[in-house]
Amino acid sequence: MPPRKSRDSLQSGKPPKGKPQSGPRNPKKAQRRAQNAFSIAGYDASDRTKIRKSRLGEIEGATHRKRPRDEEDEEGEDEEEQDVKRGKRRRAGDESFDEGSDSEGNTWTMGHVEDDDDSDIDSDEAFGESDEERFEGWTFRGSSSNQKSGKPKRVRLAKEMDDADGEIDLDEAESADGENEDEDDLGEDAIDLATALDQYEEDEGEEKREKQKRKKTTAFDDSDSDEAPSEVGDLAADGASDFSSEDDDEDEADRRAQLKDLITSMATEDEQNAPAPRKVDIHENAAPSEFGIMRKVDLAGFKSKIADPGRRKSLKLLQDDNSTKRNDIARKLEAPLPKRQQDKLDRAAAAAKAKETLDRWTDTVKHNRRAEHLHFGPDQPEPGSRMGESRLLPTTTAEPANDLESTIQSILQQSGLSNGKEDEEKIQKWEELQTNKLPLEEVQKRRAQLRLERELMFREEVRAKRIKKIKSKSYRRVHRKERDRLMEKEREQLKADGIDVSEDERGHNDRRRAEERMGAKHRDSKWAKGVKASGRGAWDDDARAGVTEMARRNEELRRRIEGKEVREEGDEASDFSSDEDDEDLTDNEEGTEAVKRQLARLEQNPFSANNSKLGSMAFMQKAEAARKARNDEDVERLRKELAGEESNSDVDDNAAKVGRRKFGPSTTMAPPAIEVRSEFEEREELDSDARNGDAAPSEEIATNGKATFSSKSESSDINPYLIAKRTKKMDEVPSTDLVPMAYDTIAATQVQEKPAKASKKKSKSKQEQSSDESLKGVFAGNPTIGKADDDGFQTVTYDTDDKEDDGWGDENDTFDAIGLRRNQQFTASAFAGDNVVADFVAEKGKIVAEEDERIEENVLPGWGAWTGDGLTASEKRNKGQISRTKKSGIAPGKRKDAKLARVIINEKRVKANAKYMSSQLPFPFETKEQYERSLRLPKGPEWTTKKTFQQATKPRVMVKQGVIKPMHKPLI
Amino acid sequence: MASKPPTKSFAPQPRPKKTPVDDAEAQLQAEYAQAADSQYGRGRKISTKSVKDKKLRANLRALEQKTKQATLQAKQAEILLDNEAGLIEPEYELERTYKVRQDDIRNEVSIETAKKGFELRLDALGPYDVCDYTRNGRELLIASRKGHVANFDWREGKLGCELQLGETVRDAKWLNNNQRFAVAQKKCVYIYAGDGVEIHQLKKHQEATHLEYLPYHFLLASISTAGMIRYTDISTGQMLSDLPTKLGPPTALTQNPYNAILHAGHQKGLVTLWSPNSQTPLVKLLPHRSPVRAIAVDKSGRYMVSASQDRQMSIWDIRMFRELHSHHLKAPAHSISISDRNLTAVGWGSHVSVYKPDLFSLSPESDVRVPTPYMNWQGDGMGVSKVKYCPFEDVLGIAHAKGFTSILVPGSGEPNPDSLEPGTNPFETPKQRQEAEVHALLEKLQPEMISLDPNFVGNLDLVSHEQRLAEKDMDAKKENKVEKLKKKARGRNSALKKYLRRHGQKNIIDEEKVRAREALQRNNAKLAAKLKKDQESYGPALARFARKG
Repeated sequence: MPPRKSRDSLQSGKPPKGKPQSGPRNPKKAQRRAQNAFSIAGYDASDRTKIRKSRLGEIEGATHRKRPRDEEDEEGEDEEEQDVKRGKRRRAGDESFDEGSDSEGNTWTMGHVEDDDDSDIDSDEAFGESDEERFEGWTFRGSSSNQKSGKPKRVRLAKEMDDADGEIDLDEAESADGENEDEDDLGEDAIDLATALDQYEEDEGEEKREKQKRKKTTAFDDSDSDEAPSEVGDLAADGASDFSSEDDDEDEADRRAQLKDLITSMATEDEQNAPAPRKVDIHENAAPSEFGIMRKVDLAGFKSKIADPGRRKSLKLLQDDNSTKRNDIARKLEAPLPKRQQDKLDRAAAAAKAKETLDRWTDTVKHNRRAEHLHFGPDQPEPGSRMGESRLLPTTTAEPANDLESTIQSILQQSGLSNGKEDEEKIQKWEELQTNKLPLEEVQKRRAQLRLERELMFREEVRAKRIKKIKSKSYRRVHRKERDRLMEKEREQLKADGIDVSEDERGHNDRRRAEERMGAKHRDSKWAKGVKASGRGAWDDDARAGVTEMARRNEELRRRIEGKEVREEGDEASDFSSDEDDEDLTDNEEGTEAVKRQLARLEQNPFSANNSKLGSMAFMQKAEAARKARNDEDVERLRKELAGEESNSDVDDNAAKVGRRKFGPSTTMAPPAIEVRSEFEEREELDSDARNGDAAPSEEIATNGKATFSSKSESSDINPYLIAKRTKKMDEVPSTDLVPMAYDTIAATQVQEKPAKASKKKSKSKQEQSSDESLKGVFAGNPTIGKADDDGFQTVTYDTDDKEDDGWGDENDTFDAIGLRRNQQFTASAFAGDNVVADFVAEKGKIVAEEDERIEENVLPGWGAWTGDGLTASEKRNKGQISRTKKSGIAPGKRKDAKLARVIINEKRVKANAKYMSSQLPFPFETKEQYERSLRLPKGPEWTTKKTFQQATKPRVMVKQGVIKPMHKPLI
Repeated sequence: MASKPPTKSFAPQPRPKKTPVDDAEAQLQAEYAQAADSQYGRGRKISTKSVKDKKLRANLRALEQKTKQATLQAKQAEILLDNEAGLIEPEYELERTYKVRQDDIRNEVSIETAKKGFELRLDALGPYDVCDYTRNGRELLIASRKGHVANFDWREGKLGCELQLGETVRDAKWLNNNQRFAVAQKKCVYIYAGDGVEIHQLKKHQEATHLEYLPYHFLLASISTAGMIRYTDISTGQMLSDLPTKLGPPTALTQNPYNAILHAGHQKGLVTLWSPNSQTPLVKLLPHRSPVRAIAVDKSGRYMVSASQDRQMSIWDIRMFRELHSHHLKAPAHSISISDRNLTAVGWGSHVSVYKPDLFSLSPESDVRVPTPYMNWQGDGMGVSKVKYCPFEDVLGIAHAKGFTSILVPGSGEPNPDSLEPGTNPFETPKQRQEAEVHALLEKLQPEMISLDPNFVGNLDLVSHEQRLAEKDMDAKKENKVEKLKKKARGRNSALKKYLRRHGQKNIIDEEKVRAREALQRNNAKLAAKLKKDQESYGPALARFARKG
């Protein structure tokens, strides 16, 4: 410790020069002190604790020259300086002050004597004494050094004696020391405070060893320094607390005492819940002094004796760091941070904690923000349930709650129907009594019987379950087979049609397989492993079921990989018996066989109790009979169904048949693939059928039932009007157009336009589309029709005629056509002059031209042109400056009515409507479609159901009257 | 003859896609959802995958989900429609439904239903050109050409009123309910109350030949002999702008119940489509080559049936503006009516033919040249001048030369009336009628909302910026803010004060602010004067009760 050492060296340097150079030495000393003032102050300010530490721990180094000096310095540097001044004052003759200040006469006299001899020593001594006196209480108040408190007086006495004895010795010793320490001084001056502090502790051990050696040589030497005796005295006084003394016995005792001390100090600290910072400081100061002990004493030995967990923890903390490089208690129990820093850390930690707590609410908040509707207010009871509705308590156990119940109870009791609670209790008691009376064997027998009964009941249940399973299996199988068959058929059909669906199907299969693979977690899932490890499958039903399922899936996958057909779970997972499990049912017949076999087995109940004695008991038989009857019935039904299904499949392979069935010699059923055909194809076929002969319509009717979606065209096919027409169609003579001639010329162009369109539409002949054709269609019939029916429509008559005889119909047709055409002609001629179509076309052309894009020419007359006489012809033609502006419009091809010959659509914008349109896309939407879609669903009750309306108009936040409790925990 | 529910649906449904669904139940559900969508769906879904904005995406998804739910619920609510629709169906192949006579039907049906078929023989009062039912089908209005007008509750035979106008009556129409009807007389249109009291004379509607009433817009439309279409808002009495057709005397007028567009038939075989918002017709069609005699549009606004003088009858798809079918009748039709369930009645000569709804499923490619009628009716030598279906009843009213006949047409009426829609509740009480009237008035649609696409309201206007600028009225007067504020009557706080408070803090004095301040001062002075006057008038004892404002 540099400050001390420097001063030590200074002091040690004093005595030899002592008397002769008292005057000039003083300024030097002062200078030295002044130089070291900062470090001294620093040392002082940094660690007052050091003072005590050295006191307690290093006093034993009495022989060492350095220590005593240290001690003195430590005892009060401020005082030292004061003492220096005091010394000066003393020299000046101001003794009264010393007298007054000193309480003991001895000291006074001694000081007086010494004052004459050596002012330096005197001052030093005086200082040491006063120091001790003054800081008596303060020093020992600390911790472990308390024991010392009673001794200082003795020490002082001894010191006085020593002082009186050896003044000369002191000088010698001091001179010798001074030399040593000067060297030390030089070496250590270079080291700064912090490193020195660190070094001190490392050096301590060595120093102690040195001290010990010195002690051996100089401890009992009378010619010791002036301070040596005091140190010896100290040593004696501090014997109990000296840890590094050579005496082992003493050591042991010391250690115990110290440890006890430590423990008690800890206890006090623990008891004080909030120790004041000062207290902590004290403890901190005390700790290093014990540190020496702690290292040697094995704490583990004491650990077990300490019951309090808090203390144990602190001990553990001490112990744990043993292995680290610097076993430093100061490190282990570090000084608390300054309050502000600590607070800052606390705040950070608190903030983190608070954030964590708040983060738990994030999801809830998000959910609530996104929620469509929020409801605040008292929670309503669930709709439809009332208090006590869910749970009815037996009247026997519960006390009657209200008047009604009590009256009912009383009525019941009066009528002898129920005695309430007592009844039950009585019965129970009686039963107990009865069992008490019975012999043990009897009771056991009864129990066994009951157990058996229960078991049998259970088995019957199991049997019922199996039957159900088989049933469902067979059902499933039947349906699957049927489906497969249909699929197969359809596929063939499609193949025949040239469409290959297999790719699609393959894709589907691939997908399924992939899904299966994806579900391969069955094997190496955590759950599976867990089950295996825990052996839970043995007792847990769920786990067992899971394991079975897993195994089944595994097997299925394996099969799939091998390319075998995979059966539905029902087939493989049959738990009926193992041999059946092994059966590989590849065929339908086999499958049904297997089911039958299973049923047969079930017929004779393996668990049947008939052959046992118990089974002969009445109640057993009754119960079992009932159960069996039910089961048997099921089995029988199943069997019937199986049989029925088989016979069905024999008769016709198309099970899904709807509609009217037709019986007759030649009803070769058309496959359902007809549905796939387009309407167009069908119609063509119908046409050809109609041409082929009479059989065709009946066939059509047969198919009618099946292909419902095409019923429109077919129903029209049955139409007698139509049939008549079609038959006529074949016979029609490509006659010259009579009627169009009656119409205006434009009409003819329209007629031409139509066939052109029709030719595009493939096979149909469109000539009949023309008006005269249609007219012929209407009126081609028997002229007598008008008389046929007075109620209304007369055209029917010729229809049937036509159907019956084509040739006759043909005759009629030609005959009728002439009359009709004449009729038409008359009508047409009546409107011939109107030029309707021509006018319309002209108008449309005009409008199209008007609305088309065009370039406008604007002429400024007179600009850029000459006027007057003598102009050439070209100059005269020049009217003026011409400017051209392009006017936007609608190109004829882009008009809405571009392809509609008989329509003119107004392309002008209706301004009035714009009032109700949005001029801009409202914010959250990105496209027009999104926005308009959002308007699409009307809100009003006229257009939607009540529920939809209410949902659409429900407010976002609903607050009901009542106490609204804050959310007490996150909902999600 | 057995009455069976129709198995066919009118609109062609898209075939369900074949998907590999294993679960039969899931498949059923999917089918159900598809059926619901095709029937009650609201257009195509939009894809939400491409939407980047998370919130918007979530909202759109929720929207789609809601729409889906709504359609499903609408489908599920079908179980509430407890009455089934159906038609007469032949039992064997050669049986024809059009051979069934009214007597046969009347014998088969219940007595109450049989009573609905009746005949009013009114020989002396001339040819009856007009008959009209109220929107709920309760009341009937008939009018003869010679000026006999009568309305009555036809089921109970209770006469509402009977007028002998002594003037040519060209048309008559019920207005929003049975409380008012309009009659197009020789010179102008009159509005009468249900009990026959003349309420209004619409002098502007001169020489109207046809009347139409648009129930949701409260518009009475007429077309005059000169070819002018006029609209009057009967709730306010205001006239909308006249629309000149410029096509001579009209021959027919009807409305499209779907979008309130008027269809006018003309001499040159033209049919023009009008809305009050456009001076020119929205669409011009040429279905015929001779004068159009009758037009009718179905309830869904998809199909139009028209007939002309040259006996042609043509069926149009008026969404696509394509002709579906046309054929010739035996005589030129006088009147066409389409029922709630799309049965088309055509009155020609002394006959009435009723066609099944599959008339509209015909196409130019179909084989049918002449559709078979579903029913026929013939009056003995009585020229049919008007046919009209009764809403929510299987009844067709026929006005003819010698009076009025009501015939039964099984399957024509909507079996499940919607009582929520104002004015269409057949069982409504007077109280309900009054409430419905108020509701209808509150929910009145503006004439500007009439358009070919009635769903346009709220849609995005895609007009270009240039056009918008061009359309902007540059000469329009600037709105006077201060005047507007002065007129604001809502709230205790003066709007002027508020305006000054909001805008007056800054040290900018503009004309508007000055005027506002002046207006406020004037207002205050007026109020103070009023207060003073009040105090004086109350007398010294009661002066304290005088209030400012």
